[in-house]
Amino acid sequence: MAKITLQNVSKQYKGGEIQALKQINLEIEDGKFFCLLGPAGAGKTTTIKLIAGVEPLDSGKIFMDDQEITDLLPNQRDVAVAFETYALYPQRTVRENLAFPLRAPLRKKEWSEQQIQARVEEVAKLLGIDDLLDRLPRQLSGGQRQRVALGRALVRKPKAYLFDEPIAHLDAKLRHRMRGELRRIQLELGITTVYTTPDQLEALSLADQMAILNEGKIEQIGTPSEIYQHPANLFVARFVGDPPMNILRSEVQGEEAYLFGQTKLHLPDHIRSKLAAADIQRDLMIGVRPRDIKLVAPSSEQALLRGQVKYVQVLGETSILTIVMDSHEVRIKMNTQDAPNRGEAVGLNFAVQDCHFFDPRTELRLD
Amino acid sequence: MSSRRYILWWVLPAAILFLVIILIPFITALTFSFRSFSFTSSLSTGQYIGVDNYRKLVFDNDFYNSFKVTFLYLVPAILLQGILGLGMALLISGAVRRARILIPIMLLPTLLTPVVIGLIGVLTLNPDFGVIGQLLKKWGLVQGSVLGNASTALPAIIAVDTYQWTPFIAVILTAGLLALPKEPYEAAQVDGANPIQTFFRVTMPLLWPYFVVALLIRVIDAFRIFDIIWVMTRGGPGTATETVAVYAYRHTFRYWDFGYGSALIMVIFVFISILVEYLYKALQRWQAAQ
Repeated sequence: MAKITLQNVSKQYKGGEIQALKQINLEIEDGKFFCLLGPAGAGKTTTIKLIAGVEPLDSGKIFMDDQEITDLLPNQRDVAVAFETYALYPQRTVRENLAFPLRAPLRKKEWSEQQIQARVEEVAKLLGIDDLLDRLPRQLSGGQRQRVALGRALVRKPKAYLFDEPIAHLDAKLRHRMRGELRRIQLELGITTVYTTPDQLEALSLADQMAILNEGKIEQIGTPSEIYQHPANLFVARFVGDPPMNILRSEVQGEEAYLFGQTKLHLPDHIRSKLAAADIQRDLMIGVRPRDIKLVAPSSEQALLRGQVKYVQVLGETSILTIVMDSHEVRIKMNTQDAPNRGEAVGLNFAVQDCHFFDPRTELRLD
Repeated sequence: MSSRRYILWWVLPAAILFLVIILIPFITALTFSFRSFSFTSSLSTGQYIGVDNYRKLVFDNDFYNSFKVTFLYLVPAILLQGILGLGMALLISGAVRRARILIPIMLLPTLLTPVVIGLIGVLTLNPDFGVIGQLLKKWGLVQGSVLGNASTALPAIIAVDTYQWTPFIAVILTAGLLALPKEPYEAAQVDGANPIQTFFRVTMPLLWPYFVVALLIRVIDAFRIFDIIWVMTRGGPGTATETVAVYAYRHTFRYWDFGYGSALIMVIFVFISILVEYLYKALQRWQAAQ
């Protein structure tokens, strides 16, 4: 168990053509489940590889607890990695793949052969691959291989687990189950875990702490609820939450903000003082989560915006509605049984306290 | 108009090429193998003699000997080339990018025609003025000429063949090594594997398909080896270096026995086909069994 700290870590590929990580600072607390969330190419895998030590970093330092590990070899760092691309030993059976980390020369004396077999079977059972132990990797499906890759990390009890999209290739149902299992294992063992995913729902549901990574930079670090409720900038606001937050451009006049030149929204005091401080004269970005918008009758006084239902996407109990007004689209999420039909005219209402305000130039949150 | 009508036109060029270059010579050789060519028969068609050529071949001890010689050359040559080629490939792929400009230079022997390579062999092995021949003689390793001695002629040919073809295997394996995925190596690093384990667990299994391709190409080549041997020893001394291709050539173009020569070629052809098929399966099985 260990605290992992990244200090001003940078990494380039192809002689500087690709800047994978730009001055990353991270502190991953001891025993926490830490998610790195970001789109493809954000630098998630690079971060994992740098912590594991399989890639050298260009500048910066990495610490484990208070010991610097920047220049340590991967096997001296005592981490276990589940690679996104599986990286199984092609010629060895699943059993041998799982046992290898325990048999490695470095740890030869720690485990007896009997203990190894018992541990391998325990982990295989946990991952539901106990009937595949004597197969070769190429005889497995993608999802099965991924579970073997995960198993190869889980057989050990290292200082930290590094999981690079470990369940991305499983089918939805299994993924859901594995998510629960991983969280349970982590809580049970209390081993610091770094987990990357492009799936915001996965990150929100698993993490104690999470960081949003985008183009090699950290956009925000916080608990899932902090990130969901107080996205630090427009990127996080759009990336976290499904469907994404509606971002409306508004014009500020005095104490009011005008949406689409017609709807008046009274700005709260603390926002107005921020506006003055940030020297925002006119434009203001207002974000509203699809859940926070309520439907009202178009003729109602409460209707802040009026539009027409363009699509209704039914997701079982809830539905996602796409509403058009002029050339803009707003998406809302509501109970299916209350949803209007396609083509109906509707009015939209939302509370000012549910709005998120962003500076259009810096894209940063105002409050 | 249906696209089916065009299909013929698309395949026609390839079909004609195949017919002219492969099928016609093959069928000609096949028909020749059932004929006898002598000055009493018509030179262009020969005389039909049924399977006499094949019957003769079955009792031809020199033919069996040529197979033996071929294998005596093939097995050590390919083992040597495989091991040296792998070593070279590991060095090249491990080298810094700039050092890779040496690859074309290393390939030079492979690019030269076998006749030239054979001549280089003859010259360097000459006991009187050849660089290596003189040394071998001085150290008393060889009595007289390397190529004139039945016990050293074949090893000399193996050495020259290895000189020519090791870079070829090295290039195929280098391409393979450079194309291997990085992640299994990273996993091995994290797992704490030592370099030897990494080599046998990660490198070899992943490189194996490339190895199989290189080996099969060399096996097929080995049955056709002719130029180097013809230039260096003409199959001699005696029949010490007379491989199947040399033997067939001798019958066809020295004794002008097109019929028997063709029969030899047919048997060699069938033999190579079976051998390669078998080898390919065996090599795959070997990998699967590991």
